[in-house]
Amino acid sequence: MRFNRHLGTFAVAGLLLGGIGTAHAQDSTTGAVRGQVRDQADKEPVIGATVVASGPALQGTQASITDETGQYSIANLPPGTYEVVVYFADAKFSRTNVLIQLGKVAKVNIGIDTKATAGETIVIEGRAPLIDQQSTKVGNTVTHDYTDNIPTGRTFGAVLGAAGGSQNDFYGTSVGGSTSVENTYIVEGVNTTDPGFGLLSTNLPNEFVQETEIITGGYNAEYGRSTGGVINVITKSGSNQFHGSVFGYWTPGGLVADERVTPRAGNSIDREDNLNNRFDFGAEVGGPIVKDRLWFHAGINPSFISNEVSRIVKRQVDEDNDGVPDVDQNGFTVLEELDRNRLTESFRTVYYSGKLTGAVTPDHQGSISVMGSPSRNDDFCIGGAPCTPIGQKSATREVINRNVFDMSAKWTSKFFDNKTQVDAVAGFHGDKVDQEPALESGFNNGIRYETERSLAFFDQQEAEYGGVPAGCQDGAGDPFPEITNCPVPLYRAGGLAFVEDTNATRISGLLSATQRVQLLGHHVIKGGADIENQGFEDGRYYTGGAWYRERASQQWNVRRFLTPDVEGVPCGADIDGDRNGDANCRAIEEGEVLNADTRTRNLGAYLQDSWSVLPNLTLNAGVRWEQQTLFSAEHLRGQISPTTGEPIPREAFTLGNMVAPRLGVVYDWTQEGRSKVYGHFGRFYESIPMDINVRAYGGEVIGIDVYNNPGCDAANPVGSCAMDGPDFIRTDFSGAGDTLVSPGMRAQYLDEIVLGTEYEILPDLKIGASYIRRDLGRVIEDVSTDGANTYIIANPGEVDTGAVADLRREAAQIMESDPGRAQFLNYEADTFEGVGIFDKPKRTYNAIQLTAERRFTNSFYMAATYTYSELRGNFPGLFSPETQQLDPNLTSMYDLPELMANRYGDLRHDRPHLVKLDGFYRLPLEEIGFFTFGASVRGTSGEPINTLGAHPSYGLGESYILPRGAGGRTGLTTRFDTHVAYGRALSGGMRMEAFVDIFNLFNQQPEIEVDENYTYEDVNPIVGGDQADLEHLKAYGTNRRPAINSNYKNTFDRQDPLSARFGLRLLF
Amino acid sequence: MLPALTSFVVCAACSDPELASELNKEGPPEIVEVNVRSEGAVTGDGDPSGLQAGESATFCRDGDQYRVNLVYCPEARDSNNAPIHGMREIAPAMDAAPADWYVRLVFDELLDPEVERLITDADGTTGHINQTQPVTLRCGGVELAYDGYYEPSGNHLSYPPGPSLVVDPDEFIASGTDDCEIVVDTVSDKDGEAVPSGQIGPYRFGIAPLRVYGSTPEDDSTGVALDTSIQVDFGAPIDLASTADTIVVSDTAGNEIDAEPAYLTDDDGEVIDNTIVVLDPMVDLAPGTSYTIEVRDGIMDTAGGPLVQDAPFTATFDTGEAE
Repeated sequence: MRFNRHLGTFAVAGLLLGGIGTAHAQDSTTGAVRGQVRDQADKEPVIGATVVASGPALQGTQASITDETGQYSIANLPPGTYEVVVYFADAKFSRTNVLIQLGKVAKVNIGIDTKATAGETIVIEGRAPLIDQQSTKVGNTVTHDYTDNIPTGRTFGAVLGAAGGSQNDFYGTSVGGSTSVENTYIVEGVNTTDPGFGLLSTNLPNEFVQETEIITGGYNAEYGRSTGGVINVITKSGSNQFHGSVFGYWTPGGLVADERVTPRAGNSIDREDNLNNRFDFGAEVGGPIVKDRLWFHAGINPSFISNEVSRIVKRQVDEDNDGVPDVDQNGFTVLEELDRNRLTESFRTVYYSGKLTGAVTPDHQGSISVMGSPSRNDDFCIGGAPCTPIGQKSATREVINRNVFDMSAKWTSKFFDNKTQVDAVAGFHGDKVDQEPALESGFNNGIRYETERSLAFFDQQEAEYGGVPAGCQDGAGDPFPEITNCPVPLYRAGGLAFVEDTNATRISGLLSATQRVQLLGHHVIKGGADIENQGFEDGRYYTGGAWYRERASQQWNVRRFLTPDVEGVPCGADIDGDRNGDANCRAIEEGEVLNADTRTRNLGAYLQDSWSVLPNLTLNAGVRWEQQTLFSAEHLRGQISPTTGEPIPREAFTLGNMVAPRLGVVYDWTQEGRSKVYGHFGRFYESIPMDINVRAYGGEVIGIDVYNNPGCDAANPVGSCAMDGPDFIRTDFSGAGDTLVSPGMRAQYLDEIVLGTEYEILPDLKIGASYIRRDLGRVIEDVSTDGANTYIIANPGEVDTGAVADLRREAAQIMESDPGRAQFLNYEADTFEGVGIFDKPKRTYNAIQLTAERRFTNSFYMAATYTYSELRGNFPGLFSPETQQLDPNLTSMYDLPELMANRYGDLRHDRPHLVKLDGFYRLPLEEIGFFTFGASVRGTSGEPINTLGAHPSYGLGESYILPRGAGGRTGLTTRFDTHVAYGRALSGGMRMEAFVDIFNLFNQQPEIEVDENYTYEDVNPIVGGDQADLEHLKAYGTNRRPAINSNYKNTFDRQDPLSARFGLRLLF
Repeated sequence: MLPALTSFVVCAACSDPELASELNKEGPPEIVEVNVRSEGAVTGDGDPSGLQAGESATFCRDGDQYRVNLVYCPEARDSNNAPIHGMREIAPAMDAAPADWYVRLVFDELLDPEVERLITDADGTTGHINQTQPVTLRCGGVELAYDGYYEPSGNHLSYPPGPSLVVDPDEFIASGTDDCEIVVDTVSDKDGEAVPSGQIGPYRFGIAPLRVYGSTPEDDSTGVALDTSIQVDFGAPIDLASTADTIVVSDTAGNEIDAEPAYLTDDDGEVIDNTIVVLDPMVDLAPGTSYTIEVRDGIMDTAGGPLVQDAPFTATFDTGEAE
């Protein structure tokens, strides 16, 4: 009902405004052109001239009539090169080579001779300015000029790093200090962001993509649900001629330089990755079905990667028999290779797309698109760190089948002589992931040994690799009797441990209307509303029914998923007031799956006005409203909540009143569209991914059986950890089957200020400078105020004191009549009040960015950015970069108050200096053809290093022993990639290009990640401490210095080595 | 919205925020809590992990509503209901066992780490304050030798809380001793500032009296094996001689079993716990019979502290059938 009411509001607004003027606005799938027609002689505006835009990307033509100020505007133009023609007094004035880009408005002022002879066609020399005069958006647009001629990745998702200020993080491309999970990805006008986790989901090869707009800030109210960047992609369309390409790329493993391996002390198993082959090939073609009426475009692109993973067993040496493993002159442990097993990984993806573009009339056009990328990965990379084959194949090898599918339908109609424009978009996005062990034995119980053991201990497990090498045997005949020859930390045995299948869907619809109004200048008023109905099915289990961990703290933990054992009663910790100790749970058995079928509904609406106060001064004002409702899992609804003692409601919670103002100003001091000074303030709300629906409102409860170490036989923990034995300590419950929501909880948001300037200093060359500040204002996270027994979804650090007082008052009133209920209300009040003791989340990004961009003309293109930035805070974003935990709004970062200590500092993606330089030059050789020389240069500061320990409940890397970033920084990373192509025209309008890309030409392999674990033992943080204090650190609850990880600050990952990619494309 | 915008713009120049989890960085190191507790040999309500043990005394800093771990710290008031200022003692949550007690002084900022000496041996590296002697510990007017360590980690939200000094007496003090005190002498922060004079103490506390914490078999146990040994846990080292006629196990007919009291030992006969007294019957217990363990007055710990109980401790158990 609420949605319909808003739709009605905008429909009425559209009708009221209809007929006043001509619409002009770009939307997420098109661009626009606007400007003024003036008399060359007296500079007076020309009224009543007809301005017509035409180009190969447009079905038919689009026209506009200049108003009393001589201004015109033509919207809804697919990206491409256009001719703009002015008809006046029977004369025709043509302006060619007008570049229209996705999401941008080109300003083209045209001077005409109003006394020109009738029937004469006058070609006007000039170029469209580079600078978008309409908006304050920051970012850049990636076109074919870029992806064809600059060495880069094969998909639009792999070129996002081209944007200034962006950088890679563990799950994608981070923008403006936000984690990649905060980005929104729009393809063909449809939100294709992964509903479950917020990741990049839909991805397409560059050959299928017309343009990719990477918006890193300063965007108006039509965009929302993002506290990162907005990635707006439009795929290729057909045209009135048949065009297309056949292409192939091949990266031979033999031309990849050897990976530089850093020895890891105390670890006798190393991983070395070598590419066997990476290749893909495909074709795309577009053309007319009915000229100017119906076009098609289709493409297919299978892609294959094969890796050789060498599993190398090494031993330490101790020539002087001093009991300390020998090190070389660089301090690295001396290791002797004993054995090498070669394993194979394979990755396969088939990209496809299809698109129909139709026009009933030039004023009524639409398109239908489908695209997808089914894939299969067979690899040795299990989620979580370290991602290495330290262990049995069955414990480390997985197969992931994934199917991403999208469908988009878009319609645009213009009414009242193009004065009003209405756009409607409907879309479907699906992302289905099936994970399973690659081997049958992978379904056994997973076991992880977090203590250091000799590889010889795993003799039975190592049989599949040919057994433990003799050199690893300690004891008789051992040349190094004083040391453990082959120590192994974190060995994995048995099965895969954690397995998860997901099926995410999103059905979306968007309706918008645009109207131009003349009132104290020109207004372009746009309003719209949208709905997203998301589904997320999740099935998870521990292989064998339980996961066994030998903790460094001399205990064994056995984790199991739990499920109800009483009909109609959800499983959860016993906090329902009766405190009878009955958690109403039983363990998920081997072969069972913990399922949750959940749903989220997103509503949004916006109204914005782009007000051209003067021809060279534009004010953008807008406001966006959003609402998000998360629903409890289907199977839990109506059951009695162990948390509240009341039936679990259909709605888990609703975040309403998300009102996001946007305010911007653009001023062109040249009055020619060749400069702008701009500023923008905006508030941006997060759209919560649906992982939280499953984990907090899907009935997930984990039981952790804790044993003293002797109670489990390390050689056979599955058969020996017995709950009726003397070493069983207790069972901890994590989760309550239902999760409280803090009263008054409000949505997570980010505020942003952008101030900047751009100037076209030379023809086709613009330079710019901008300041960007992004401040996270509020966060939603799960917190626990009772020691991880139960959790609350809340705004950490914020308490609704009124609600707490109400609970206490109510409890006091019923204390005598219903003491059980009163006890529960007091418990709730305590819990909600406890949220206030958590540190308030902070994340502040300050950046100054300098840019230079030269449009591709005269055979030369160049884009350069330098960004100086600071990123400080205690909340990195929607995943934890240190542990890679991806549970948006549900990470362990805020689970316990004591986990807060030392989390404030330079965040992981604080890289002060970021330099990017991309360019290419085309050298024409007349009859012979042409050469293209392209290059991409990157320079990046190192990232902060933390000093981490384990937490008794949360495990490795969760305790910040010293303040965040106190461990120094990794070094500067530089990279130089090149592209050399030879092309020549063939008969029939065809063109052939052969090229080679060299990535990392100088084979620089600096470390990009180091081991931050100072110790694997449980320790508390030294709050505000330094290196001197670190010497006095004690293992949790003892007077003993913990065992220090000898690999602390040792290299964990390096930049990829030099590689060469060959390619061939035939264009027609 | 305007205030938010203004605040946002103004705060562009703000420094790092103050966070609840941080320690106090300015001024002298203040004591936020003095806690006398024991983490070993506590049975009954204590957590078997030994990490949630009894407290025998806790002092809160003046003005603090909560002490560490968010435990409520009630305001102290005099007989006229006026607030009492200064470090104040609050009622202990539970008695600590008289053995293995120690004092943890929790500070609001990091201390000069020189307060502790690190010693490395075959078992690893441990901290010691027996050389630096930063506090004075007395019981019964006699200064006690002590060791302990400095734990820089932790804050008021963590367990154990920190930063803290742990003071551990070298010798066992008689159970029930009620005139112990600790005084802070030479403790300073990393800037060399000393603890304020108003907080150095003395903090007075007593040692819990000797009592029975439990028995094995437990009260009301059934199906007890006939060759079982009987154990009584006192939570303090016991003078075995005092147990000769004071721990009695008898059947319903009043027949006392014949057994010699001893400390708990391992399989090799080595004493592993002198706070637990074991009675190993000379002959197997009778099948299907009810027995009562009775602990009478007269038992003393090794320092002469007497057992204190309102009534003799008793526990009854039934044996199982013969195999």
